Amino acid sequence: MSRGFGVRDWLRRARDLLPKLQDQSDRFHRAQRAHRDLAERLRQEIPERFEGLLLDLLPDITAASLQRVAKVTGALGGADPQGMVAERRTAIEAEQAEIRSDVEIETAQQRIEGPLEDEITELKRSLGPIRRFLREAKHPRLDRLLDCDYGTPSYSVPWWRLSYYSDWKAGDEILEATGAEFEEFAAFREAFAGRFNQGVISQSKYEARVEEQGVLKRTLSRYRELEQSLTQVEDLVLLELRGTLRAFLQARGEGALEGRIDADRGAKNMALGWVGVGKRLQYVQELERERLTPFGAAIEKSLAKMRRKSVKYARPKKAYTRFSADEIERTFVDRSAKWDKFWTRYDAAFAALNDFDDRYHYGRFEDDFLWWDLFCDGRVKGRFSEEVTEFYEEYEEYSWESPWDDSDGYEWEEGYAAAAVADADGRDEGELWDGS
Amino acid sequence: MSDEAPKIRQAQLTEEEGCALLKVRFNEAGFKIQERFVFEEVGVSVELDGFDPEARVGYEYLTTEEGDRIEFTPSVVASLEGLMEKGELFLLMIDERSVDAKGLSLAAERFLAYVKSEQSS
Repeated sequence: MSRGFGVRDWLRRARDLLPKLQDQSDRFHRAQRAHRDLAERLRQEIPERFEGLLLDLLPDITAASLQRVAKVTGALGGADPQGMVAERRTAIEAEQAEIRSDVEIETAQQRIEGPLEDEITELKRSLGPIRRFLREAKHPRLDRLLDCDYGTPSYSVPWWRLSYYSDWKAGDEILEATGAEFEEFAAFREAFAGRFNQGVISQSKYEARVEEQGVLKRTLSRYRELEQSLTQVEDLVLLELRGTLRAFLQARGEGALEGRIDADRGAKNMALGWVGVGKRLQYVQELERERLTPFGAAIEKSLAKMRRKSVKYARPKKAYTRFSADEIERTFVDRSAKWDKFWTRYDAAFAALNDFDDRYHYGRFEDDFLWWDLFCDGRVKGRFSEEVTEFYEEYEEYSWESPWDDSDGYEWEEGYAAAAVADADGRDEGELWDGS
Repeated sequence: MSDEAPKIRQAQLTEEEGCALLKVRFNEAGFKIQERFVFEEVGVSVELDGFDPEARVGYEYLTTEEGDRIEFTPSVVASLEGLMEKGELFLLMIDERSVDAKGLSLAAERFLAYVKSEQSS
């Protein structure tokens, strides 16, 4: 059986297909960037909305505020903020009293800046020349000269030994290094001993005063912190209670609010905003993982394969390769319609998530509410999400009813209409991005 | 030119190098140094590193890199020092392990000046 197509036919078709694959690849990368930007924005928005909810629920520590929190969330029911304030105040005052028993606060600052500082300055000044002298006198043989009484009548090394001359040379070098202050080593010995002892004493006094000054500064600083804390006890208790509420809501999630919060419209709207942004982020992540990424991987794989084969068949040794009509058909099958359908569906789903304005307050906490339908106004099937698929299965009779009317001014993009048409053809979404 | 001594002068000398330097300095001072001179007096018999038997001037390494010289026992050293105290012998005793050229040269110069003054008095 003859094979009907040659390499030139193959390469001509590849030249037509490669730019189309490249376009798809570019579009995939643009979509991926937009996707990740949106995910990042939502990720940052969640804690902001959560903190807003906490501030709304607990603006202060009045009994009314705490009663409201307990009613709406079930948290902080047994909290005693005034008792907490009193307890903190007592602890702060006790620490202040303990500090005052050790330090006279009224004169501490004056002591730090006055007598202590003066003494430290004076000790530092007096230590300067001593340190310089000891530094100049430093010599590898100094200890030996002092130990063997060099320069005194007790020195007993005889003149015919090399060590006698080595001592002599070292002694001369030390006298020279100390600026010719001493003519004889005996005078140096005496001065060295005196200044060394004086240096040790002054250094130890200096260190003690610096330590004392440091301790006093830290104590005074702590005392002032406590003074400041006393004026903020209520704020600190408020922060602590808000922290408890934060941990409670984080642990229980939206379940803590269901039913309880309905009567408090303001708090409910804020809570719906927090939960709704989280849902939006969840769908964004699922859409990327389940749809966009597999599609992009398939396109990249096809593009790489086509490039590789184009190089292979352009080689002279492949010039006479023949291809059957079936092979050509399979290799260069027109996938444009499939790709277009993928993008129509994907764009519609992404637009629903990306363009959704701040209408979280239309949401509900009940199980028979589907956030996805709120985001797309029920116009796009969200089968990329396991949660959405399970919801459709569980509520077979369910149908979305728009909670707003056109007078709300909410205008849908044209893409939603196209997606609705795409859904209507009855095909499973999954087959659109299997890379075939 | 820098006043600082060249590094070579600060390097530690071996016994062999030290003996060579001392021989030069002693010969420059007018002595006729014989190496490994066998000295036998006052019941002592030792080999000196360098010695002028006529002038009775010389030098001896008591301490080497390997440790103290075995034949220079405390009693031998005491006998030699007894002669030096009486002005009958002038022996520069190298009793330190760490010796540099500058220090040894200066020590030799000062020792020889002392010997000259002793011998002329």
